[in-house]
Amino acid sequence: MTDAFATSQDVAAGLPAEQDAEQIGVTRLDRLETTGLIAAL
Amino acid sequence: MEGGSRVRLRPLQERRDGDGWVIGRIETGDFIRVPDSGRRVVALLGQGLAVSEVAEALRRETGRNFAVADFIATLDDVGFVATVDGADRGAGPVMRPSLPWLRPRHVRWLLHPRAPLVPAGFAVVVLIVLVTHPALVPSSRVLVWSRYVGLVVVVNAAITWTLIGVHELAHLGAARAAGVPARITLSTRLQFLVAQTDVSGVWGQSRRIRMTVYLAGMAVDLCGAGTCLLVIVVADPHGLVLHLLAVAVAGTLLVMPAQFMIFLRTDLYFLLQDLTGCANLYADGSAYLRYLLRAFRPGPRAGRATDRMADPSRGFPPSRRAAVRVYSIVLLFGTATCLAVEFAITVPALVTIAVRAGAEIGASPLTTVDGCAALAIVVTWQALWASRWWHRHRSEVRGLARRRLAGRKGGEQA
Repeated sequence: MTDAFATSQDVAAGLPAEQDAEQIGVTRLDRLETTGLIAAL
Repeated sequence: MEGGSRVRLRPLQERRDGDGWVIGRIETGDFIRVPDSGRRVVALLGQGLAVSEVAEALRRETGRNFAVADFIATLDDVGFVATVDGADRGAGPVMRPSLPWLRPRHVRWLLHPRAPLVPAGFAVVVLIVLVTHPALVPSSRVLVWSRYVGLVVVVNAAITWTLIGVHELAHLGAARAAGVPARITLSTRLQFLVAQTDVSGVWGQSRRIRMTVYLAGMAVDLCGAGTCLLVIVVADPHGLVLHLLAVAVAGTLLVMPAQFMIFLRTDLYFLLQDLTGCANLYADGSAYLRYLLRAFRPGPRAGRATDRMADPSRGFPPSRRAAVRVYSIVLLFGTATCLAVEFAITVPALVTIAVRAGAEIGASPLTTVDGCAALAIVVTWQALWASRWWHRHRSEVRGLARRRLAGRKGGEQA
């Protein structure tokens, strides 16, 4: 994080009206890594 | 950031996903799933509204008070924010695609709705040939086609790498056809060395395209095996050509069932994850398994972590919760079986090859070269696996070591 955003808590603290606000749920999606198994023998 | 701050987002791709939205950056493969309110924040920021104006607009539209600034901070965490009040947030790491010269127009035909008919046809060919010519049913015996172990190991390895390369190129080609900058690398899954293609950018594509990308590797495997079998039946080759074609067929059809080892995050795992609507089936399954293992750990219950730890699948919708719970069991037994096979079969086989290769060295110039080649392949393979395993797990290992060290120091001070 850089100066503009230190942490999400700092961001919320900058906006007092949001202290008791409803959080917007975020689910981070898994990386899609297709595979080919290389047999050892 | 203040209420009057204006946030500019990077170019984002989005699509509807059930009752929510999938939003992300195709160039990095970072995607998130958000409810309608999250998507609306992204849209309002895109219209140039300040943070407080976005919160106010959302409150007017829904009658609810949302933590918009927190949400924007999360967007920043995943690299979606370009600037805040004109201050650059840094581009972050961008995926370096493999074969950058391959353009979507070169491979767009891979996504044609009728393209799956080709591998389906080859699957029928494979079935018919194997039923009518039972001698061609692949077995591990065809892999040993010469008395020179080094020659066998080197040639079989070359064929295996070629087949895997084509398999991954199929994933990459299908993803690139959709404009996704995929990248092929080497990695590990348990004891296996694997080639993997990062196609995370397809999260933003339709389900048909995602399925095509997941299955492209197995589709091209079927086409390759079918072609080799047709050549054997029609051209009736003999000697070395027949041996090499048989190795290619065996190298494809004997390895293909490994895709069903979904606990290794194989191609079929991603298919299953998508069909069950899970965002991260492996992580959720692992978390539930850790919860179960702690719950059934012997010892006094009082003060145990389980007593304070909630079931991580509790908040999921019923279908997703069932998928996670079943997958966690598959993960446990699959991993245990895989490791047992490694120590019971693969390690002894590798030792046998190494011993036979060692015995060849010194007998004659030809056998010495043969033995050295076999040993070189076996050692290189293991070194490559160790190198990729460390690359994949080094941060976890270092973190674990740091925690252990900190715990030991804390204990000494106490």
